[in-house]
Amino acid sequence: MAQGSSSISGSPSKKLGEVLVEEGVITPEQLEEALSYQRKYGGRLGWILACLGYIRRIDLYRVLAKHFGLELWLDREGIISYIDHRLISRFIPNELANHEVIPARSDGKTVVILTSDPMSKRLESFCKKHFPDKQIKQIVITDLDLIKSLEHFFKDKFIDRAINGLFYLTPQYSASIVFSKTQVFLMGALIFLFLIGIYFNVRLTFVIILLFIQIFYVFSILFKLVVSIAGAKSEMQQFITDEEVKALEEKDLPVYTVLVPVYKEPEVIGILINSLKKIDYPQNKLDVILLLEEDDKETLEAAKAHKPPANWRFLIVPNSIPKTKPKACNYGLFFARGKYLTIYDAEDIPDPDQLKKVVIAFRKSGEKYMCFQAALNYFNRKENTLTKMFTLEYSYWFDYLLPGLYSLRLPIPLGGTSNHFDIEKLKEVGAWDPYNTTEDADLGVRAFGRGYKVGVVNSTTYEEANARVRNWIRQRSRWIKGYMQTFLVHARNPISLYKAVGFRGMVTFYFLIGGTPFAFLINPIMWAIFLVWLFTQTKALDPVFPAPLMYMSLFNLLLGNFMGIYLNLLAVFKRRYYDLLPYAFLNPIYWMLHSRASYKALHELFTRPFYWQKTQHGITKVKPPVVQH
Amino acid sequence: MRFIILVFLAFLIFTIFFEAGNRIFQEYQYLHRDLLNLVEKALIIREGNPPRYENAGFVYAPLAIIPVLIFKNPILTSSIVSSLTLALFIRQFASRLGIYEVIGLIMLIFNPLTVFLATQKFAFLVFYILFTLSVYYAVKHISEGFSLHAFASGMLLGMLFFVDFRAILAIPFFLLGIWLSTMHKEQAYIIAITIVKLTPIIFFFLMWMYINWVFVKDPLHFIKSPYSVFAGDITSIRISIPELLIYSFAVGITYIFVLFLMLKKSETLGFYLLPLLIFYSTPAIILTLSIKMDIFIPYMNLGIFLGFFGFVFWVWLGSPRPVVYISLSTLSLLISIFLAIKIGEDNEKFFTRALLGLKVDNRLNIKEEIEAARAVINVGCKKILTDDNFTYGVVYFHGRPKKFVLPYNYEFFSYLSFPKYHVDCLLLDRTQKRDLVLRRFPKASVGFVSDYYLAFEGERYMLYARMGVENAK
Repeated sequence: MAQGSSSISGSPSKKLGEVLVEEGVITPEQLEEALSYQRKYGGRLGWILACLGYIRRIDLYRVLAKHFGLELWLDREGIISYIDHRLISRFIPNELANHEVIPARSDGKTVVILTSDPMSKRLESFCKKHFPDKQIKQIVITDLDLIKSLEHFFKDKFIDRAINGLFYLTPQYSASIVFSKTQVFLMGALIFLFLIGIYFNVRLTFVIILLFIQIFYVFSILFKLVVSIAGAKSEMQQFITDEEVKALEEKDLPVYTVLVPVYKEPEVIGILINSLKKIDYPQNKLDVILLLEEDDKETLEAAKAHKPPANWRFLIVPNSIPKTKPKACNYGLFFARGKYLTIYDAEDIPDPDQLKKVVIAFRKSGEKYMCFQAALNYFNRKENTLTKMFTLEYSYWFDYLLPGLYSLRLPIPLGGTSNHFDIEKLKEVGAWDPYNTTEDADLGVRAFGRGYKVGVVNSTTYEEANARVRNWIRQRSRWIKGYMQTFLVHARNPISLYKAVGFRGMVTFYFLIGGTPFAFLINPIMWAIFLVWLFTQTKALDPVFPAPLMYMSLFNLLLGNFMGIYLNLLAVFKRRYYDLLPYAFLNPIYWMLHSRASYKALHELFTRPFYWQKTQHGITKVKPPVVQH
Repeated sequence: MRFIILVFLAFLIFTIFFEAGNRIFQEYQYLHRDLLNLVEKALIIREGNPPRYENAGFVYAPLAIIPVLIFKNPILTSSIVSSLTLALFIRQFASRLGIYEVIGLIMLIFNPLTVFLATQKFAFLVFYILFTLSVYYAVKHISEGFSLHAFASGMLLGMLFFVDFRAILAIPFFLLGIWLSTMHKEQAYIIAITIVKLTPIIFFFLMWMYINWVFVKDPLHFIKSPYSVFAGDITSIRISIPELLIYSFAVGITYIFVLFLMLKKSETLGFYLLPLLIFYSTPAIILTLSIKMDIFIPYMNLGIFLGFFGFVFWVWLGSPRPVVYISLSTLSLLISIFLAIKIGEDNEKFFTRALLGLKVDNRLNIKEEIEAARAVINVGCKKILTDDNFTYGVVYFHGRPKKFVLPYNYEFFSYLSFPKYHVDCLLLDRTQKRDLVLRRFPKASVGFVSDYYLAFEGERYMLYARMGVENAK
């Protein structure tokens, strides 16, 4: 069906709803409900019906094609073989994905366009831009066929961009090089200095090292204290109120992409599907992309079994190294349709109004904001001591520390999920670093360095806390390794870092990103020294602990640990988890686990820097709570 | 930013003001002996042989001694620490300061008894302010329910322990207040709040016991030590406890006024009132108890403690009846001046008189300490045996503690047995029977120590030099 080049969008005489009722695909009641939905939330009727589950995706496209009097092609192999490789390769794949269009063939006068969004404004703008003087012939294909076709032709490009996109854009921010040459030289120089020191004056060398460590502890304690107090103040105000959420004009809500990177998680994928079905956001404006690995058939089957609505798309991420979550997210980003984007894990249960709150947060906070982080917490907190400790830690981190960083206008290391991005800005900064095993923390620092702000939104996503120690250590070692990577990446050029994030940002970076793993590595050594001294009362340590240093160390040991515990006591109040409070006193044991994970992380930083220690989900015995809408 | 400027300005103004007050007093060669003791202990921490780090904690509360350790100059230290504490105190209420509040604050801060505390006994002032703030946040937590206030209250109470170990006396009252304010809530919450509010002070207490056990083998050394700098001079008390309480409440008359305001507001406060009153009455109860237990020296300045309470809770109530409050503040100022001059403890009395330009008795001045220190130098003593629990002023003004053999030195007692083989000078306080040198040589007070001659004799201090030690003069 040929259309004039001046205008390819149009409105046929018969309405789509009428066609669907006439064809018996939907009932008049279903149509009425969808129309009412449309009046409330806006959007296209066919898509609304598909998202409400009244029509199948294939029916939608069939009726859509009929409605516009266009051809519908459903044979994926046929579609791929029809597309002229030379023609399509002249285009930027991202643009094609964003416009949901594939220029398939051209005979000089007429261009055949395959599209899953026929007669749309964006299709018109695409055609005007690239084929201003050509006749356009539209052929309807499903959105899934469109993605598959694009993947067929651009798979290598997509995967290359997903892996190396950041490196191509800003190589200095990529963790693909673990240590820069300068860092290697510096490490060598430090070791050399240490050996020289040992040779000339063992005692003084150790005194200097210990002094440095104690000074670090003092400032680290102070830093945490200041940030926590600032964070605790946030309890007194709600950033986004319920009234603001109620007052939100739902028709104006933008399309929101939700990326769900999963790997071998068939047990838990249903949790998120159910949560997102009940989320307080128009389903037709939710663009959910399930990112699966090629060798993960079981999760795909499990997801299909839950019969997700039409706004769910399944993307198979091609097998390649590194096999990491950020790589999968970068891959998914090519196909994201939303203005905003968030990431949820398969077992996540976000607060129903989370997306709306984020939309309001973006509107309230201005252009400088690139991301808002929602709080994370655990639904299985009462399962065992480990989950209780983990919940305490997360409650403190997300309810007090991050809001503290936010209110002090300091860089925020993002959490693993529930970080909500402005897609354009996310792409501008190079998205996630697939070589970094805490890609979100890195992204938070990078965004801050690029002049963007990261905010915190008062909404929570509930996850499954790691209930097994070995699994916990695996997960934590990955996070700590990621912090090490992030530190190494951004500390490559301290002057540039200073220029980018300023003094306060730099202090935060050193104490939070660098200081966290450093403290966990140092703690067991200092504790061991203390225990040896305590039990043996040996005088052998006296030379390296002159009185001022010993008192300083004792002060840090006692007050530092106390502050760590006391600040952790804060964690229970916001969520009224009062029963967890006594567990805060077990923190020293919990910190030992951190230290164990840190040494594992350090080992892997040298041996397997990009290896993604997979966290096993679905091992909890606690049934996830049902989201109330 | 404006708050930082406010704090800085307040700090600057107070420092200048307190320094000016000090200068006036210094003309009479006066320095409070407690402060002198503290700076001498700090001097030994810094320059003793070996440095006596244990001073910072085992006998003296660390937050009281650390500032002296940092700044060295005791006069300036007092002014700086007091000014900073007051500036931070004002910062807490900066957003609520109107004209009446500022006047009320001026009346309180520029009260001669506050100035006395700020310049001569800064640790007391810090204690009063931290305690007031701790209770203020405890009450705020009861009424508003924000966890930050519970934490602030607990942390400030904990810090109090490091200013004055006697802060542990507050625990039962806090416990009672917490219980009364939470008895209607779930058990987990009651436990949580109790832990949050009391953990710091209990932890710090246990920590100090531990440190004392590790270093001096007695976990309660810091409590039992007879050499507490805050032991004060009991002999200067010449009034009865009921009298003292009446005077204190007269100085802190605004405290009573605010108490009535709180009772009047009981309709809106509902069941909060009782715990609130428990918290509110802690300074009064603690003062009374500590006086009864002979562990708190009843100076007139106790009334200032009540005054701070009155001010803070008046502001918290929204500054009602401002004219009455200001009138009572003015009255409190006048009462303070009158009582300090007529009835106050000697140090307070002389200080207030000096501020007002009145005649000051030279009984408590430090001339003799300076003269004795000069004598030690002039006689040419290279090693002086002395009990610095009483001769601290001389040690401080001498300025070289390494030359002194003091009770903390392990060789002190062996030297004391046969001083002539080890030291060339003996310094003692003839008025103090507990002076270890005097106890070893009881006849020293009448001028006789075998093998030594009397090189200096004052009303209080006596310096003996070994025969053969050249008089530098």
